[in-house]
Amino acid sequence: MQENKTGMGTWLVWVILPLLAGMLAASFIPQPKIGLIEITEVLDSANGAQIIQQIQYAYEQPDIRAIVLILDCPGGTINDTELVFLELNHFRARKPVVAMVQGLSASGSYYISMAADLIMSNPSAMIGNVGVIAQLPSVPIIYEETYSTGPYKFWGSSRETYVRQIDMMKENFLQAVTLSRGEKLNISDEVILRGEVYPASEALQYGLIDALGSQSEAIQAAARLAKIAHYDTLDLLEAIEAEQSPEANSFFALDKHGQSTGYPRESGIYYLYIPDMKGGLR
Amino acid sequence: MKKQRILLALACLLLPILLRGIWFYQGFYFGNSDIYMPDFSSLAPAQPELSTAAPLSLSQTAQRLTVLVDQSHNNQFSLAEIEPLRAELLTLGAEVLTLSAKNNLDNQLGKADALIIIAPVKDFTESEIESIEEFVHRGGRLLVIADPTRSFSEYDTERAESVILVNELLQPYQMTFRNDYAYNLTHNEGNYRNVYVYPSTRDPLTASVMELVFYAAHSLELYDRAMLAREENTLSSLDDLQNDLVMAALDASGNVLAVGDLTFMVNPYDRVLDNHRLIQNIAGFLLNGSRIRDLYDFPYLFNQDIAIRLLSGISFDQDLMAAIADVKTLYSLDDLAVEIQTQPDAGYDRIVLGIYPPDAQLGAEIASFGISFNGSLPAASGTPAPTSQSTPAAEITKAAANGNGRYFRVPGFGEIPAKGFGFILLKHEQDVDTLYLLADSQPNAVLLLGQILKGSLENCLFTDTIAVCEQAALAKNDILPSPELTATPPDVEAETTPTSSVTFTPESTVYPLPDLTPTAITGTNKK
Repeated sequence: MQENKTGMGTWLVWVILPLLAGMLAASFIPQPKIGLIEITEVLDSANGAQIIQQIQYAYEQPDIRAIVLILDCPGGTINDTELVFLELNHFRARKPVVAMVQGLSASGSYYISMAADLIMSNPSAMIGNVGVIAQLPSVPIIYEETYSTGPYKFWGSSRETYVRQIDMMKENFLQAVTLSRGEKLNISDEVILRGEVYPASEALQYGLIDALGSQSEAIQAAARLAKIAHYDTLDLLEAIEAEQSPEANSFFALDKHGQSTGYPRESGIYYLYIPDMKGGLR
Repeated sequence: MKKQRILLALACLLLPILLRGIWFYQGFYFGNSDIYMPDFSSLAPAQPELSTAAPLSLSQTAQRLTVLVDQSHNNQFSLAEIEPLRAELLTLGAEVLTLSAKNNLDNQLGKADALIIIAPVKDFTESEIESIEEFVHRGGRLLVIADPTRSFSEYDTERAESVILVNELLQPYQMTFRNDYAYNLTHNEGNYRNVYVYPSTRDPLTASVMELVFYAAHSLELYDRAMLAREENTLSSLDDLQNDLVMAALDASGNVLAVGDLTFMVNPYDRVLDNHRLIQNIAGFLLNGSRIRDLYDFPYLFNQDIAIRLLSGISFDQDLMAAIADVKTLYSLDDLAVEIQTQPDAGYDRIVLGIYPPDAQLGAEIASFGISFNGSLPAASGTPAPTSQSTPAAEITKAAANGNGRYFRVPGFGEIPAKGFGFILLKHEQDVDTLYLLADSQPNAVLLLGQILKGSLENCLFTDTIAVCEQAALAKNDILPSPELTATPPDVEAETTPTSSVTFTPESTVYPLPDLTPTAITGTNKK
């Protein structure tokens, strides 16, 4: 009887307890996630900043092992497109990126997909439109009541120079495509620069994308690249918003109804005029 | 024993961790080291290819030539844009006039030596197209520029396409603009649509031109003489093929130049490569036409100041003075002075006002027209204009005008009654153009002078150099009062011989002369 008790104690001490401790420790190993970033609007400064925020969030979260860009976008400003592209490349040095085209990935949208390890698309999506469009600046004029210190202080550059800068931006885009796609490309620079938009099936033949498929297949591909299984997906925008209280986005503290109190949320020294405070002091 | 237990415990501890790790993670991702990005630091805009070529020295022409710039068809350009061309034309001594919507193209063409039509988006009338064709036929130079970036008026609801309109104009000259633009993705001047263009022939238009840049240019087909062509890899947007794109061409006569781009002559693009030289050459082309002034251009027949010479039988009276004053005012609009001179000085064109039949001196002067004032011609009617020997002054007798039933025989017209008709004769001599106005009486001579003010040869039949005007019809539409003629209109029917080949129709105001003389250039003077 004594021996049985000793045997059970031995099991408890040397097997059950370590096993429980191991299970407890294992629970700290997070389930890997694949972050989803939807880009479905024109890339402008607001939209671009939000996308960059999502990329940075995914970069910092250890459980997010890859991201899938879900693209249905006609492109956007050169500046915001480039910022997203650079941020994605920074992310890609640590975690894989898959671009999934759903509908349209043209111009700036295609540019940012050059920062993806894999580009997939549904077959009838439209892809391409490599190039730049721009409206020339106004013909320089001068105002009686407004002075500037140089002829292009108002306009930034001459119209002629602007045309050449546009072409420089085009070269930038072309380099991004040729370097990223490398030997996979089956069309010449000349053809790429025609700026055509191709159906995904044709884009695949030209080597502009890697595969046709669904969003689920894109996510699976991202998981394969990240070498993970039994993962979960995470909408990165929702995740960020969930982490942020409404007040986090407000300069002013909010009351319980979510209305601005008129007082800065964070303590500090401000050069700030708050008319409402005048009433408060009265 | 104890060691085994420790190992067992450790295994039990690690097992769940390992299992969970393997469950989720099937390997390690070490990041991607093959990230290629554009070499941002090396990107720089291409520099413009400015030309430093010295300007060509072009000599000023002796005569004052007029270049008409069409702005009456909602043309998609501003005068400031063609200033480089205008400056070259002014340097060469030309007068550059603009044709606004208020003006009548048909009328204004008379005074023009060259016509520039750029990117019109308002239809040309049939009459205008015919007038332009006649203008070119008479040696006028025509420059037609279409530009793909100027095809539409942004504010027009009709949005007529410029290239269609200019093609209607160019149809008689076997030239057609393609509704395209040329582009080159591999070798271009700053942008794919800025293409290099090279001369395909050597002629005055391409003299000293080695390389040009056109900025979004139409190509041409059905050309006669290709002047400028694209470089090898330049494609047409119409078919993306390397056709033999022609960017500028001359018609067979050498009087019509079609150019597929406007921007090359707009500052600052006129300074790129040899663009400015082409502009100079185009200015030379516009002013070097062999424009023949004839009665079709009436009354814009003169390039220099005008001396009015009054022959015997013409005396100053109130009507004549008023008519001369009006003529003076008319020509002053074209900066031409009008003076009355008994013996015109050199450097003047002339208007000679007289009464027929002419005296010996005038008879000799107009002998080359071959008009027989005594009813008989030495040569058969319808032959080319006779020389002075064939119509000796001796044959011209004053009796011809006085007797009823007498007639004049006019080459190209047949027999004209000796009363009731006025003659307008245009004579070209070296550096001098002379317009003879001959009538059967002073009041009718004044009426002929008034015809100048009307700006056309209404109520007249005319060839290049001879117009015959029915004085009664002139009197009906007279600007000046003519009580004598109104009171006693000549009996045209009675004085017309049965053999006359000319029929006047008073209802009609314009008398074309189609087939009277095979050698005569006939035309209708439109109003």
